[in-house]
Amino acid sequence: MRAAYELVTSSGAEGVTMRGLADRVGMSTTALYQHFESKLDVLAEVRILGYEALNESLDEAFTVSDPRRAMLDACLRYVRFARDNPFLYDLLFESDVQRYDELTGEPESEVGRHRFEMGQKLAQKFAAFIEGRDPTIFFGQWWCFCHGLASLTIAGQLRSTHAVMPVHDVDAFIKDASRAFVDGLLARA
Amino acid sequence: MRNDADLRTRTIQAAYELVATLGAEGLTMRTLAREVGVSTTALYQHFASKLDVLHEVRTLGSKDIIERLEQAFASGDACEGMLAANRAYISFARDNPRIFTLVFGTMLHHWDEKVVGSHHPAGQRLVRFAAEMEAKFGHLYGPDFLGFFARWWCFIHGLASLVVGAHLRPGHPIVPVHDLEAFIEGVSQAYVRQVCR
Repeated sequence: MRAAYELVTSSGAEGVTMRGLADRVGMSTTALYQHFESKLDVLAEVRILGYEALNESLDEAFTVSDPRRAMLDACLRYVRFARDNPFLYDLLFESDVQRYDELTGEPESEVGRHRFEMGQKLAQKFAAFIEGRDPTIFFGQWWCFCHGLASLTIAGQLRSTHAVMPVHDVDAFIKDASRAFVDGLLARA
Repeated sequence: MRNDADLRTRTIQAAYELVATLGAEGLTMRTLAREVGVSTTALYQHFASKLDVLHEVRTLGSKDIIERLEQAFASGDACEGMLAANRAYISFARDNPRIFTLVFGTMLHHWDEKVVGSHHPAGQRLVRFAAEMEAKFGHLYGPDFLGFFARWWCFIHGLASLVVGAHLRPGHPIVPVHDLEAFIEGVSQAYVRQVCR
């Protein structure tokens, strides 16, 4: 599994072949097929590992006590994760294969339970900001923005030659845009 | 010569439809040639490679989405216009998920200069659209207009991408979406309310 994860991270889902994987882990292809039915099977597992890595990183950010800082840090980590692992991020969010909850059978699975606990903690942490709003919409806005920023960044859409919004310094842009967005989201009506 | 230009246009149109149904990976020069009724060799006289064809498809796609945004945004005041533009962005993505992926995805990486450079038709359209937005939102976001525009793009693009990727589901632990249409509308209205405050 680790080997597959690394292969996806370095060369994308297309770069994963059962033979290449078998070579990496020092197995015969036949032996590998005894553990995984197909490449899709392997990729499904890689996705779970990927989501876990992303969630772990976000959870850590959300432990910061100042809600504004926590939300900003989490967004920056989200984008950092995508930039560090563009192929993996692509596999998680831009591909046609199954979704996380289908893979993990939420909320029954261990991972699922943990995520739900996290959700409850977040609702408490941001209760003062959510008051009078729908929490799904509140966190949904955050997700849309951070995912959109991550996705446009790794697709190379933020660049100095853009016709309308030239971005000369991607790092500064990500920071500024995230801060302004979080400020807007947490501002009280 | 006229026939050549005609063949080129027809080919790009056929490629657009093939990408719309099969995705960029599914497009082959052979299928495309068969679709247009020419030999593969003849096709290669017009397009150096599949990548070349994909760039043209991408240009068509970007023109389409920008046109929709312009049209939507023209209706009503700034805030109503943005709400309408949000709906246009989402419906473009849902109508053509595979074209959407080609236009904004990582596949061709760096959106080629020839697509969005301001000298290009799609680029010019985009410049015009941004100018209209600036005319309506300039009084609120004057000096930071580009930041404002970019943040809006991130938000609406993220929403569209999560919608077409089918990530918005009832089982999600933090953002459980039971009614997709209500979520799209709700999140989009909440965003507009914030920027219009």
